[in-house]
Amino acid sequence: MFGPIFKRRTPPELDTQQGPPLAAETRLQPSHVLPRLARRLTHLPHPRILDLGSVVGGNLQFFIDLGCKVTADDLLKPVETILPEAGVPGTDWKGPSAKRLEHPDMSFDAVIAWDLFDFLAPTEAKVFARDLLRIVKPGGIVLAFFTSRETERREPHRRFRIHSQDKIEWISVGRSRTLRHVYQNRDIERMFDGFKTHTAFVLQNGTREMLLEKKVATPAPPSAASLAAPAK
Amino acid sequence: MWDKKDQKDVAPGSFATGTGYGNTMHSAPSSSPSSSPSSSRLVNIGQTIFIKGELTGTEDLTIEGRVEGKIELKDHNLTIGPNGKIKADVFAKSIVITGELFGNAFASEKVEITNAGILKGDITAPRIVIADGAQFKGSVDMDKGNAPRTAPQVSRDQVRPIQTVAGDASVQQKASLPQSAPYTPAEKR
Repeated sequence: MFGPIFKRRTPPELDTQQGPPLAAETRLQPSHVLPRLARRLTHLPHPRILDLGSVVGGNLQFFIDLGCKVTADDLLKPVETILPEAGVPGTDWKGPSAKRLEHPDMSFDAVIAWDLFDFLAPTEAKVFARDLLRIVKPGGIVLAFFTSRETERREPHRRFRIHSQDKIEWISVGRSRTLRHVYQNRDIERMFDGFKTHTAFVLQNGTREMLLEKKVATPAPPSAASLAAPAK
Repeated sequence: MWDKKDQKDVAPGSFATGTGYGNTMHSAPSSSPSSSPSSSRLVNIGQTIFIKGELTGTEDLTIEGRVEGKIELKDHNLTIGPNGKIKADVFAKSIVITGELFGNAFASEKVEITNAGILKGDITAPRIVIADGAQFKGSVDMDKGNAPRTAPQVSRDQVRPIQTVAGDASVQQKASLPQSAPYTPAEKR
């Protein structure tokens, strides 16, 4: 009865399942969160979004057509360029922690973190999520993908191309594999302290796509002095 | 002036020594009419050339060397070759980046980053092409401030894919999105 719950995670070095084939892999997957994000952005005045991950021109165009001002930051480029030959587990990517996001506080209405968090170690992911909390406006949205598999394994990272309004093309990039961490819902909640889950779907391929909304700070109760001040 | 033949006569770095910013280089003689395509020549800045200052011209230019400062070609095309390394704000009709550009790109027609190209800076252009594998960090301004904003609908019957050029992710084609739909809070599942 409790077998699946208490199933141990296989250490990555002992993982005999080598994941998807190394050859370039393209799949078209439905997206349930992208239309929701798009509709939300459409109703914001001059929304600003930050696209993190592999830069795909068509994705930028999609958001530009929604009236967004788009900023791109290709954080996954080092994964494509640094890691070694096919099939050889390379040096794990240390993530973007050494260089914080160079954006002002509360400057974006939405952040698109494509295939990013799974490749960050837990401490790294939490620090990075806290940095997102800083740059996202109150009520702003983070779109992120997480695997829902039970075991960690090395995989090539993916590039996402918006194919249509509710379909995303998943493309395996590169030939080397990076350790994909597994984060459960409780891990994500702790990681995104300051956010609440807006929408979450588990796709058939075992990936969770999530919209996380930054909590709007509760306004402080008016002080006695302000209540006493005469209205102008 | 910048033909390959002339490059042999220019010592490497000769434009960098103590000249500083603000030096203006006109790359074309005034007699060459810029409006005539047939008269446009291919002008190169070779790999060993380093220019520090302001570079202006009235003909198409390909840069394989290093330039720091400002590049202004206005109605002409700029190509940054695979070996080109630019630290400058660039103004041209069309900008193709196969090398490195650290600076802002302003194009009246198009900015294209090829799969080997690197751009760290903001883009202002009506058309942008970013190939898969290109490296880009910055903002995009396509001057669509007055364009009507539309929202995608969830219905799969009405979706139309964003057209892409085979082999790369082109954003030349504008996505045709259906009419705006009112936002309704999404359900939690």
